[in-house]
Amino acid sequence: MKVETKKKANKEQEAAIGHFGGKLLSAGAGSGKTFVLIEHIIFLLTDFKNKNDQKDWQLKIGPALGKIVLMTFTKKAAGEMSIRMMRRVDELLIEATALERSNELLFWKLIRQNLSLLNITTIHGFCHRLLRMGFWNQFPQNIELLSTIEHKDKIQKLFDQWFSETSHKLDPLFVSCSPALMTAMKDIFSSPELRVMWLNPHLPQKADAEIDLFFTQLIKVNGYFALFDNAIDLTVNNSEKNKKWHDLLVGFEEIRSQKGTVNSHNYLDYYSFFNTFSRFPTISKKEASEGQKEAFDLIRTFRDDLKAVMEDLKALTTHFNIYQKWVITISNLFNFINANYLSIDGFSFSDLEFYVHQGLNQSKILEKIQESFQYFIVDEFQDTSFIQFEILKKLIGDDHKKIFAVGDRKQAIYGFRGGELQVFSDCAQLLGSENNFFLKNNFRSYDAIINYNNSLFENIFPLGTKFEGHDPHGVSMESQNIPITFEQNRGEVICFKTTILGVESDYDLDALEAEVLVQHILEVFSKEEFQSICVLYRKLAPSSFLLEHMLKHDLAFSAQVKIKIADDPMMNLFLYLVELQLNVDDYAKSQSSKLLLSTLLEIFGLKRDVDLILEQFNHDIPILGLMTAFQKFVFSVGISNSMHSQNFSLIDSLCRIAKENLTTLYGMLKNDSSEDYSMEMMSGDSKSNSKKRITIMTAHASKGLEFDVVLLGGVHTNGRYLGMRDHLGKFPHSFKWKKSFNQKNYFKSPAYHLESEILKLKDFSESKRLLYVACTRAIKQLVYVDLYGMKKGEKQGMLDNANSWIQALRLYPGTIREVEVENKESLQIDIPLIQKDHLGILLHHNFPKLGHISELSVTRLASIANCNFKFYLQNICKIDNKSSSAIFQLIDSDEREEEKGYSSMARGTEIHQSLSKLFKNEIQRSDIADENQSAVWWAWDLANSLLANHEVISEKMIKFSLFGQMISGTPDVVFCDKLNNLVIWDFKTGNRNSENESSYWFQLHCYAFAYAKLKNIHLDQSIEISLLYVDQSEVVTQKLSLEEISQLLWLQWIKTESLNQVNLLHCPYCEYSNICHKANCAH
Amino acid sequence: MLEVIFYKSTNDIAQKKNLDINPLIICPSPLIADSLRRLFVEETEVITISKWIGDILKSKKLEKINKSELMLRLSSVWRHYFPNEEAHLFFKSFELFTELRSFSLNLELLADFQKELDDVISKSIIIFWTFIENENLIDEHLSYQVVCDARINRQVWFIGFKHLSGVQIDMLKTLGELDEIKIFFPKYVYRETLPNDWIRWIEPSRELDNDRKLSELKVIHFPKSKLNLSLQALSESKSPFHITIANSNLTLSSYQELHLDNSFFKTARDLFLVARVSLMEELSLKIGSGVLEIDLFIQEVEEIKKASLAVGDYLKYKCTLLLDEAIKIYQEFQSSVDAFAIKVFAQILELNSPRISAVTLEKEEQSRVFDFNEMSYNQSELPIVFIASSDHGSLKSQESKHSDKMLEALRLIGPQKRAGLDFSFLKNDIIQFLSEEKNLLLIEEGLEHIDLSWREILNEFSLSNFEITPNYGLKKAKDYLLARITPGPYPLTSISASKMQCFVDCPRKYYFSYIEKTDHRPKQRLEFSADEMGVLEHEIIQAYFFQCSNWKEGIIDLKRCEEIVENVMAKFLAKHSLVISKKTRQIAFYELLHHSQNGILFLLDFLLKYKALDIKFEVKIPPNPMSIVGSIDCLIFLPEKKVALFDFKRSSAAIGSKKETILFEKIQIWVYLIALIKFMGKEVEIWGYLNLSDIDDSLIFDESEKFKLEQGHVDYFFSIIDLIIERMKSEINYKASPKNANVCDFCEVSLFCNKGAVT
Repeated sequence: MKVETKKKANKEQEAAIGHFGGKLLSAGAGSGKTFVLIEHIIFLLTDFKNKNDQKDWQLKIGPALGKIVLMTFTKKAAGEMSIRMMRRVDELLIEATALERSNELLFWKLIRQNLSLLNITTIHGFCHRLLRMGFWNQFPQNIELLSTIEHKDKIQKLFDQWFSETSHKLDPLFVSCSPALMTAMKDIFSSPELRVMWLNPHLPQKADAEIDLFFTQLIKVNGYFALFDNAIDLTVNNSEKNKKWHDLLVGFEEIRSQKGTVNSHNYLDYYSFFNTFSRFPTISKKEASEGQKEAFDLIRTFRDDLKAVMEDLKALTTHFNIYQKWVITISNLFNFINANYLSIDGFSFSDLEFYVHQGLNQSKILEKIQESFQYFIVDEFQDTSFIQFEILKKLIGDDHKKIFAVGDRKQAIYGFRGGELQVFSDCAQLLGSENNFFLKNNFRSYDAIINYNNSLFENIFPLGTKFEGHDPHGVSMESQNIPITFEQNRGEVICFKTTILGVESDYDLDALEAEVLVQHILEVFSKEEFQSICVLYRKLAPSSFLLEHMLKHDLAFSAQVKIKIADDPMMNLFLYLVELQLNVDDYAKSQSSKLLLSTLLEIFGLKRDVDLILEQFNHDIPILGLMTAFQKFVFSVGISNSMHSQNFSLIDSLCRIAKENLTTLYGMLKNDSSEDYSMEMMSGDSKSNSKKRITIMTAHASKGLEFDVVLLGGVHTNGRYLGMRDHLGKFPHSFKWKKSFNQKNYFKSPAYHLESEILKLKDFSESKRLLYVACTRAIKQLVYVDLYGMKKGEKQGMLDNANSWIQALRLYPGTIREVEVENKESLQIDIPLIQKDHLGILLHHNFPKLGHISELSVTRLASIANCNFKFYLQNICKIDNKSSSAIFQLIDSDEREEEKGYSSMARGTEIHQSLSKLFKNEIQRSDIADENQSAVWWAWDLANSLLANHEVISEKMIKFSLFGQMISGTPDVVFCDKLNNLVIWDFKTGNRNSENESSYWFQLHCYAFAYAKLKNIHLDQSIEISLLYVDQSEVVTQKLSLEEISQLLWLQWIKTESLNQVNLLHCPYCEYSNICHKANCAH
Repeated sequence: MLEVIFYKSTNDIAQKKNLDINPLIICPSPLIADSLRRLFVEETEVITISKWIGDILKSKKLEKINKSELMLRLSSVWRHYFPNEEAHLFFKSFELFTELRSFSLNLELLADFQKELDDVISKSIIIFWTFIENENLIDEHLSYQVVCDARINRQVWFIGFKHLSGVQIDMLKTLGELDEIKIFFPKYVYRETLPNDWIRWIEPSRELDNDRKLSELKVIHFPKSKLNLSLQALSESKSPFHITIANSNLTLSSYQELHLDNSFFKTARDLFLVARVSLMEELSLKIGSGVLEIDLFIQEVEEIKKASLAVGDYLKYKCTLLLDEAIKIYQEFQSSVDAFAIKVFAQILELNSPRISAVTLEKEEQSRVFDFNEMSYNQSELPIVFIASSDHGSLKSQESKHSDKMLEALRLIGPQKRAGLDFSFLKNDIIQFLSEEKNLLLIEEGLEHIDLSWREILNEFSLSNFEITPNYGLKKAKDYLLARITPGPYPLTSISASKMQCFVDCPRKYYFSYIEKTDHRPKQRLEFSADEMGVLEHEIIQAYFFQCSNWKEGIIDLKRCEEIVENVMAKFLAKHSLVISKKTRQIAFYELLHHSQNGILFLLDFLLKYKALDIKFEVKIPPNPMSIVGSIDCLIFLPEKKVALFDFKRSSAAIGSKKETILFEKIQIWVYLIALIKFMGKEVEIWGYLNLSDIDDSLIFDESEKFKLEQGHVDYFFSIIDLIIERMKSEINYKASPKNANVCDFCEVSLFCNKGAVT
């Protein structure tokens, strides 16, 4: 079957599109992989169309789409893919319309309608979905995803539980290294792969067995099979026979043949053999065969490994029981956290994969899931982890046709997130070589760049560390093809080369490199042919020099920068405010905190005194909580913050974890300040958001992108691998240990050595692939700088690291352009970013106000006229001090905002009702009950004078906007004449107390305001409002203009900003005085 | 008669009202009710469906059970039948139970669906169903059936519903048999509905033409995390406007980002969250993994209530009141409380906590910031700026969580809620608003390329750029600390080695450390700080040698050492207000023990090896012409009147490199050497820093390097000290000039300092 596609697929693409799964597609950079993926889905849908009757489409298409899962590496990629898919279907709709194919039109219309059922998601998203579908009873269905800090807190809590249960029997050594234990556990539980590794680790029984296991794994990790499995060819010319290097090979071969592969019984023999050489010999490159050289290299690394581990293995044998105790204790800790993990709510991102992986072991559930999802297309397959692959394997079961994996192993750069290249090979094997396809054409880059990359990486991919020997984790270079050949060779790889004397440090190299790079950027920036320019780094630190240059030249750029929590302005503001609270009783300390706070605010641009706002913040904490008080503070000083999704959500998490305890928060803020997040810093022409901007980012972030010009940055200083520094590794049994407290140095466990070795090798291997990713982003030009920096006073000795990118680039230089650059010493002390960039902060020049309210009626709001704090207790805390029985009723009602006014006494209600009925002509004067007659008649007679020429509105609910907030209320009676003159009455029973009338007046002001707005009356127009004390036959009247009323209401309304304030004059009448802490304190 | 009225825009609804006679308008929420009241020119009775149902029930003297009470009652039923199951499974069952009742009140109809469920959940749903029927409880879904016989005798319009359940549709159909019921539904949304969407259960298939035209839309793209800057530029170039964010669940911080002068916004705020969590955690701790008799539990709650009141924590007090209410119902069925009950109570408290809003206080509001819920049916005279940012989340939520078979089973019973349909409503509203010429879209760069929802919306428009000139640029460098420095010179009464070192490192750091004396670290902390640990280690080592005079034997008395650590620590804690947990205390204890043992062992070895005569700690520098003050950590007296000098440090970073010491960049040890040689007349044989955390990493100059103490060298350093002191005495501006990046690491003003950069 052939699929028509708008963009024509070439042969290799056609093969990759038109199949029904069970394929592994290796798709190189720029090979049209996304196009293939989309067309493949279209192919499957077209097949569905052809295989099903039109009458069934409607019913079957939804479920059919829902069974396809396209897994992408990032959410962003999923979004892009969804849009590509939608556009493609739209194209097909247009085609079908143009060609008047009604059948197809109907089909693609149905697809378009149901397209959202197609699962385009990340594997995390897919796992989340499975968990949400509620297949498993052991996991909650509504999974709360935890932030990093919350997850850390979860592990900390479980760790503390374990600690409190076991600390009495713990060796002091364990106690003293518990922070390291905690860090390791946090890492292990943040990685599904590690957690699975830890689930059933063997427990060491004998020292020999441990050592044997170590050597078996070391051989695998470092590829020593070649050394121990095959005899070394010792044939050499006679002249070499007495050379040391030959002696070494002979001696080694002798032991190997006698003792066999290294193990617990013979490692000392190997070690003794190596010790017979005072210096490790040098091999004759000329005379030795390739096999001998290879064996020699391996013997050297083996010797180094053995030397490094020797003392530790001896200690393991001598003190095996202590080592065993370490293993058991650490395993117990893991088992405890693992067993109790679900007792605390919330999942981390990695838990999604872990629990799905575990959950799929339940065969019945697996069957159900397999029925729901039947075809899996996996993009960026080279970065798939073991667990993810295990999940996929379970999902497809025995039917390999259910998977179509697409990736490029040369671009595997996410080992640190669990990405595992082995998965690619395993999958290739699983599906069989006949199902391994390739997309070799590169449609992105110009010829020169494709050729350069082919040659460079063919050279360096196989090389081991320091670009020597063999890389056991290397990938093979599948060269890319140039699909169309032009007459002229297009594109260029430029190497700017210079020799510098007297280079002192890494900083110098980075600074000098930046100087050369910026010169080239200036050259290409103005050229029309280069529309996009990007500088890519392995790590961003060296980019600071380039940024300085770009600023100097006023080049527009957008740079990825990392902000440490410790440097984030909002986090610092929060920290200083917390600190100020803690220092409140210490004058000197609080003055210091204030100095820092005021400086920070000045950096924001705030010059005014914020003492009043600060005072309000202090008052707000106990009544609103710290987080709300802080946000209110931020708002009140006029700050808007565009980094809130980073910093505010972190502050929010911290507040929840610490339950707003200031001391705990302070500790957390200080301890977690090294975490960071990424953002974009921009400079240059501010109007340039549609113009050319130079992009600066990490090579990781550049994946999937392309640029006309790519410059490689930090190439001289980026290869440094610091190795494992933590006390505990992440693999089971990986730790540093001591036999006793007084031992000076720690021993390393065999697993620690192994982990260290694996990480070192993988880091190097991945660094090469990262360079590949960076180089393949270039369309027209690839540029780097080669500085031959010589140390001061030394003839030789390159400063740059032996594993850095420059060493690779030197193996296959591009077009060399000699440049000259003046050597200057650089002292890299960066000014904190907060002083350079807004970092999301913008200061406005007003001090806005923020109030707190609940859904309100006029009657409820009126309590604010009595006392701010009473309003807080009554309407914010909703403490019903008279009777709490109605709380359920009140809270759950959806109609809270429409509550009617209430009267505290039944009699009052009766009189109100009587008057209302009289106004509505529902009863006669004579119908009034005897006991209420005098009060009601008095009011009614008074009203009679107005009835003739006024419209009467009685007990009618009105809803109106009070300074933006909708409020409802029901005035007793409103009189309105033809000129919209308003008279509003409120009836009161009992005796008048003029000192406690403020809330009554407030209500009348509200009603006056509401009706004035309804009737559109002028600001100057006067409104008459009266309190009618019906039992005392007393009328109290105010005549106020709308403007005056607005002002009075405003003064009350802004009290919602300072709910802490107490009106002591109201206390004698306040029903909350018995529980009011503030009032009691004041008294 | 039940009829669907299709409309294109909000205006259409308003116009329909003019032709009709006083209908009763029923809508889903108070917010929409407010919008509809504003929409209709004449006074119109608008009521929410919940209020309407409530009123009818009231007239029948019936009462609906609310969600929290139903949850509480059913949780007790659950406990009876499934005593060993987890709380989350109950919540899952409860949610499913209420969802299923929205499809049908006849459980038999749901038999096929139940087959797909796990045994426990399936059984629990039958039990819940039976319970609610036996107890004659009216839940929300039954309430729709109960009101079916109500006669309204006027036309009823249902407006604003984005979903109606099967039970609600049954109610409408029954009401429609006698009354005139009209359901308003947007035309363009109908065109995107699928056969099982709720509206199709009323109006199965209507052919509606697509007469929507491509509109012009003005767009501004803003870079991620630069929304506030863009908005500021826009407000400077454009007359007042409202803002709408295409999301219905925004946080206070999202609103705060969109700061406009004189603007109004209102946003929900859960003030009780921390109080709730804290209360439930406190009670959980009391219960642990066991159970607590209900009376004892009530006592515990009562105590917390009193305590909260006593300290004026009314948020927590309120939570205890809510818990009281829950307990009242709970104790009708249960006599004890366990972890399961705590989880249920936590849910109840969350459901029942007062709903509080934060509002901006503006007397003369010019503009408003809306979330999308507030936008429906709202008509505005001011232009509206729509904001689309990835920070505000996706427009489209996830589709159903049920499997295909479950969906198949439900398909025959009633309409299913579909995220795609919700999005169609939202899209329709957004397109309607964006189609108005005065409005514009402010969208994050690239969002339309990764967000399908926005891509779909923008497909309906032809876009043109609206130019603004925001300032995304970097800030100008400035010396923020300069104004906070009172210029010198300041008299120097005493000069310590650390003071001098600080001045050498950076005069500005010196100013804030020793002149301004910036000290903001709170006394109340959860951990010992590094400097405090250092002080304690010094003290322990000193105390050990003071107490164990038999050091000449060279054997460490471990027990004594432990006792000393314990005593020194206890003394310190009694004096300071640190809040140290048992774990932290234990860890600190062993760290102190470890470090001080390292030091003691080294010194014991040293004393033995060099046949030392005496060892002294904290040896004061005698009065001297340079006014140098301070103490030498450790001085060992060797034969032939020689001495060894050691300074204790806790890390190699504090020691610095050998090169730094040799080049006099690290001067502390030199100051002590000068004091010993010049002021005390001692001959120094060995000197250096001991790294107590790792003795092998110490920096010690032994006999072989004694030449460094030759007269000329010492004199040279003496002149350097002199120079430093002179500079300290005459310093005026205290400019920032850190010697290297490490200097700034522990500087209190590092964040604000320009580090010597030209300003």
